[in-house]
Amino acid sequence: MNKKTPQQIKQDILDKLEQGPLSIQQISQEVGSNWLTISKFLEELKNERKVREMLLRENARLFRLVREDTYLDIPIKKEYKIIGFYLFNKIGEIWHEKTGKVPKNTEVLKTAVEVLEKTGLNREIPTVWYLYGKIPVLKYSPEPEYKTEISSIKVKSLNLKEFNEQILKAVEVFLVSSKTHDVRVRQYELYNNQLYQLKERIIYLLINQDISKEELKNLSSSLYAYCPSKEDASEILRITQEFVSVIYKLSLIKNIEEFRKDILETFIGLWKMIATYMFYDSLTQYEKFNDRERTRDFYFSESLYNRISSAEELVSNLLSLYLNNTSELGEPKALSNIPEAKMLRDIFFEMGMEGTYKDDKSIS
Amino acid sequence: MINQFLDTSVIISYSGLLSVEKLERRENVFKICADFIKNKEGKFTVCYFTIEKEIASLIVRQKVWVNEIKKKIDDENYDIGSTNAKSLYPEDINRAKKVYNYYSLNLDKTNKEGFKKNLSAIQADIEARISFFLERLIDERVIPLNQIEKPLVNILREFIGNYADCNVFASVLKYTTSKNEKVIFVTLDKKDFDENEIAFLKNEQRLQSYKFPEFKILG
Repeated sequence: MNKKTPQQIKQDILDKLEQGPLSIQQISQEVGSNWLTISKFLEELKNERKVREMLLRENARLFRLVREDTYLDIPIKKEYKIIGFYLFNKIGEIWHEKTGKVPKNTEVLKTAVEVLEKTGLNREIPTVWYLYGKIPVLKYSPEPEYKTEISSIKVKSLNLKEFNEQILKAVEVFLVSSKTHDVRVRQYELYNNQLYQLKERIIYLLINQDISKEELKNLSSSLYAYCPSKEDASEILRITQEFVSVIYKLSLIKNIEEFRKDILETFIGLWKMIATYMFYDSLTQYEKFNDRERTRDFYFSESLYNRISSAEELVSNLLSLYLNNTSELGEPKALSNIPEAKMLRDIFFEMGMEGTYKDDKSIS
Repeated sequence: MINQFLDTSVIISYSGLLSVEKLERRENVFKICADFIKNKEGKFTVCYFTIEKEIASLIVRQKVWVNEIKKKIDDENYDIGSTNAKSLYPEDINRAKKVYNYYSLNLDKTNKEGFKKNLSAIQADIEARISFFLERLIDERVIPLNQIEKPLVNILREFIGNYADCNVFASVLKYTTSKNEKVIFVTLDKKDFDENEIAFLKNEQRLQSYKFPEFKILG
């Protein structure tokens, strides 16, 4: 048997990684080369930015392909990528025919989501919630012309005529306005996604309006209500409630307008954290990704960690701003008389009165 | 000037004042406490144990507790306390269950977001009121944690059941002893600081080197 060239081994490694992340040991077995050889070529592939190393729990090392054409390197089979690119291209064509304009990213992505979900193709090209709503995990760029020969692709149950009709219908759905904001909101309404509608309202308030303290407080506690709360979202929920607390404290400062930029910046950081979790959570609704721990480890551990750390730091900075301006505090109003207030207040009082600190060991 | 040394219970009561307080009970501690603060006389002193241990720990616990209820509302199969058992007391888990039961029996499920929003809002409101109190109404913060006399705490533990109260009272005794002025210890805690209990403490041989404050029990 001929000895493989380095190029062949590297290609073999890349081919094996197509199926998903693997350890050096697993690649070594699949490719048929020893651990040291694989390790050496993986280093080279890392330097060439073709693979990415992931450090997981208990220091396990896994490698995954760098996929420039999908978000967070989520794998999509080649034939479905071609269908996806065809879809983007077709949306662009129809949009241009109808409006005389090239569609914006948001318009293409929202329309693509509609088509993928209506045709069931989202099983292969998952659609996920992210920063600005639902998107396909396949990236869209207005630059390249996606001239793909879809007819050469054999995909079961894909009827091209029906597919094109579906694209036409979907374009009509999103031809609502020339404003990107309206297109986004249209999608949030279609899915009745309160969390994303709320995000839009908070940003609108922080950018376009005089800040009403009561409205800001109201919106931020609503954000908490809609914030994800599954067991693996504990940190996200905690930081969101921390944000709400800081907003309530800042509301005691007479001139909250001075902090508009800082509040906005913090909210955007918080939103990136929530939206990254939403990406992960919505991806795990698909059969291929429904092992939550594995999906999180493979594709989200780094991005979620970074987003959580960054949000936490921003919220902490906002708290520092409050603490540096306590000379400007106005007296807080008494608690509002909402129906549950008395019950909760009494419980908090009970918690406080029974002795809030029980750890004998901390003072020595 | 009168020097009023405030117990943690005073700050907690101040934070829980509702905009409409019904005086259905003879002693509405929230109202009594709010009036006491409003009609402030002299200066307010608080010890670091209250600020850095009691209040800080209470706020963390409140947040965890609120989050546990939200998790249960979002997923009725969730077992309250299962992800945050270390941060909560067993009583807190029962309290959270009680609130969840109230929610599930009394409220229209279509407004579950409204209920969760209120949970968050009330927690944040209470925290903001506590923060205001500490930042704006306190004149002096005294007895850093490392200056609390551990032997004194141990003596007090023989008389006062609550460990946190022992630390606060150890701070009060140390502070009062160091002052030439009259210090009034203001508390709502009738259980640990009733007249008999205080008389007993004053007679304790090992506490004779300490100067006792006057006591004002609100409510």
